Amino acid sequence: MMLTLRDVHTYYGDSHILQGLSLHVNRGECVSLLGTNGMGKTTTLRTVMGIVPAGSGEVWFNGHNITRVAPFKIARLGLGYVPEDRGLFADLTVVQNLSVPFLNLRGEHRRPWSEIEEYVYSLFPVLGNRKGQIAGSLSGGEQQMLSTARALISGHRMILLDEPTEGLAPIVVENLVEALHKLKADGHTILLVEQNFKTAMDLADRGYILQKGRILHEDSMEHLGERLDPLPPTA
Amino acid sequence: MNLTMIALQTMNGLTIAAIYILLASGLTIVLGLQGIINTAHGFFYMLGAYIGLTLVSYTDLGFWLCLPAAFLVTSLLGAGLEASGIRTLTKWNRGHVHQVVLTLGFAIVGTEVVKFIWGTVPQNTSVPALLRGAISLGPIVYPKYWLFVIGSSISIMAALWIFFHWTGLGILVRSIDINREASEALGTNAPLLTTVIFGLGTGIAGVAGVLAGPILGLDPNMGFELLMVLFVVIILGGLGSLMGTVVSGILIGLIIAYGTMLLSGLAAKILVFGVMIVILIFRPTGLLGRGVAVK
Repeated sequence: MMLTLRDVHTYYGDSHILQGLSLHVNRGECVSLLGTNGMGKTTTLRTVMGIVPAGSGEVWFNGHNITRVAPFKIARLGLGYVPEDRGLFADLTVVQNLSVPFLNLRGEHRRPWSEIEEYVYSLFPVLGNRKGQIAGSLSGGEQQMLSTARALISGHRMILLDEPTEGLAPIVVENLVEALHKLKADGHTILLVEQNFKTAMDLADRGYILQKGRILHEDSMEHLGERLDPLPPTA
Repeated sequence: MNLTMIALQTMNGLTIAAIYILLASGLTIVLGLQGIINTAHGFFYMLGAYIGLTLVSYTDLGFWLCLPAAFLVTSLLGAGLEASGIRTLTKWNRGHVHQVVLTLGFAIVGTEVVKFIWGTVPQNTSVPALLRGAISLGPIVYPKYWLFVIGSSISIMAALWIFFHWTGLGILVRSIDINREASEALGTNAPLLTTVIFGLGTGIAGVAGVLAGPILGLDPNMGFELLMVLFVVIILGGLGSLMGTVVSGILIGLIIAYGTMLLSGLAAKILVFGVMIVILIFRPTGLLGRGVAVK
């Protein structure tokens, strides 16, 4: 098992957001978290990443108990995170953005920069043409690709993707989904939060429907499609 | 006012600016880049000056070893203050008021310790033999040591610029400044780097103290007296902007030099604040600020 959450409770001040959430993601699997806004999908990813520490319960990643561990230590275990707002360093160039996770690679995970560049630009060729460009001046799709590429450098074992297609033009979504398919084919483990059920269905092997911070249903994507009542219409 | 006087006051203004810029660079790094209000910054400057005095007067180490020694002591002390005090306040979600109280308290206690060790009588550090005397610069004859201070300030600022723009560590620090959460999620040890950069800032203040000693003299309150002007320099330059600090440091150095000559020392200080108010009315983020308010 790559990722396991057991009876996790997370709070924002007095608000009880995750109310005993349990889920797991197997190695090489793509799992989708579905649910309407405010159900705790983003909080689940932020709790796994240690940005909002779990109040109680346990989070395990690749055999390590990462409950309440500092985010940078979790990242160094090989877990990458693409936040909903992309979290780019807007004043830095594309290469400088990519160099942040590279500079933080330690020990056996340290690879030559040329190898990393080759991998990233083969997955997202457009970034190869924008190396010296300031990240804040990239288009929405390019910014999403940069954010994903960055997370892949630190997240060599698994990545958490929060609404990767939100606000992108259909053609850009198509390119991004194609890249994510390549990642899957390469054996990457992915936990995906996605409002667009069509995209989630296309990518994920299995999914969870969240409601009020708890798992309402867990099933294959085909079966979850039949239980779509709690979800909004998809684009 | 003849040409010689103008040239002389300009050089005096640039020498004052060199010290202000060095001091303010350390302050703007920790305030603008990391959101920490360090009111003890002046204390580290004063401590550096006294370390210089001791090493020059009572040992054979000489002036040249004072600079790394003062940097080492003040940076380690600063890093200790950040790691033990400010980091704890951050962990407890305490804001700027708590930072001010902590660092001010540290500065007050530290100043009393300095008074206990070195006394309260103003003192002077001697200029190293190599830098004694003066050089002819066109219409004026200017002290070698003062030129050395200007050169040192330019060298340190250039080194800082290279560090932040061309080194991996500098890029990591800038990534923390832009988006700390995202940087940590990519594996950056932000707490450790914050301590290192805080230590770098206080270390530069210590070096500035050694350099200023022979020009401005030493007394235990020298840090507190400069602190207000330093905040003017970094606010006017734009928080976190090293280039802005250079521009506003030069501007304020020249205002003080010319203000003191044409009006009086007190009037020059009032003029500095007047200029700051006028500039901030038209440019609230400072001369080269990025539109970022104090975090």
